[in-house]
Amino acid sequence: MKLPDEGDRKTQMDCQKVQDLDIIERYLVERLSGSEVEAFEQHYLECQRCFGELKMRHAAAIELSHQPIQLKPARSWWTPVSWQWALASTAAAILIIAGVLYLRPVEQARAPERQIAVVQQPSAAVLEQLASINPIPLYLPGVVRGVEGDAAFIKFQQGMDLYSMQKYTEAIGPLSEAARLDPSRPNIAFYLGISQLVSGNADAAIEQLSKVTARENPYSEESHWFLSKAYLKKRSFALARMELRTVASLRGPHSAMAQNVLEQIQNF
Amino acid sequence: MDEARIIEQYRSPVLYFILRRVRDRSAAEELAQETLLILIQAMRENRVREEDKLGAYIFGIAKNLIFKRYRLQSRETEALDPDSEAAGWVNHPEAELFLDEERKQVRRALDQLSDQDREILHHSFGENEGLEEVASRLGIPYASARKRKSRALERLRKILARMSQKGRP
Repeated sequence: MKLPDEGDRKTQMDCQKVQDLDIIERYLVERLSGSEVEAFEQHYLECQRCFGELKMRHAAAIELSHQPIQLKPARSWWTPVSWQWALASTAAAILIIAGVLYLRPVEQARAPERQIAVVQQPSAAVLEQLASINPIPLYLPGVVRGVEGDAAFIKFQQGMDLYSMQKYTEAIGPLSEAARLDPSRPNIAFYLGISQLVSGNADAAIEQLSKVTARENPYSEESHWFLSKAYLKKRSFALARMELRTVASLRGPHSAMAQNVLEQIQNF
Repeated sequence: MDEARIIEQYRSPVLYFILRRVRDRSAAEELAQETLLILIQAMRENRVREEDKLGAYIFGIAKNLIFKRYRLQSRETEALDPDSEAAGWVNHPEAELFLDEERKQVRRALDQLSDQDREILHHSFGENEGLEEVASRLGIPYASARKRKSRALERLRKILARMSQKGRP
């Protein structure tokens, strides 16, 4: 049953609100108002992360409702025993402790050395392999968008013609112009970012791909993945890990690879 | 915007959204396909300019199609009222089927959680209790329950991500 609406005010939804207001659980158990339901549905229809989270929590709700909770029996530190058994146990314990103290080698008396996590430096070959852009995303021009006079679209097409011929460095010029004419299109920023990355301009690639990830769109997941590549090229391992965790959490096509790379760079 | 990318990204959430309302897989598949076709056609005709508001656009198309179908069906059968929302959606057979793969993975992942994690998730999800009720039942402050649940979910996510990575060829 829907809860009453708070007037006609449209509710806005974003990933942070979904998390802060427990939107998913409340959606599953019908504790959202009508406008909240509408806002959340519009959000998850375009947000891969929140939709993935919704599926996971819904699946968990189904499984947990089917299984009665089975906890391991708690071990009580106090169980009644016979006094003879208690006495014998205590005596044995005292003997063991005395023996350990007497027989312990002198070296063990010293405080154990502090274990400090060793930060490893990756070899150039390993880093090159982790940061490699393979495969380079293909351009699939399924939709012919744009109308006559759409200058941004014309420049984009020029750039993508070069991109499709693997002339990534030459594609940067027209794609940059397209981005300048229409900064709002994520596909332009995405392919410009990739062209920059393949051409060895990691900073410029980061700038473009970060624009793509600023909002949810069909290029978000891939952009996070290639951002991690750009950070690896710059040896910014903390930022690379951050991007890889995002990719892993989205559970998209690059999730498994992201988890793999994360495990390899965790000590860098 | 690439059509193949559109279909790949939106097919599953659109299907889930529609299935929750119509509760019939084959009907939902048809409506989802129709929704995506209308979307692609609108993009070809340049009627969709703001690519970051596709969610709202898709929502409108799908809801419209569902209402049209419902009006046709209600003449002959007692169809589900689309506005009755999610009566029993969580454990509906169609939901269980839709989430079959996710359920298998979650089932294995839940087995790897600690008792404490499974307990709080069981009360939160399995028994549909609000966090206040969970905290009260466990005898802990609300903030602790919230933190414990958040950590349990994070651990569940990590296990699922690891399993997903191992399962790849």
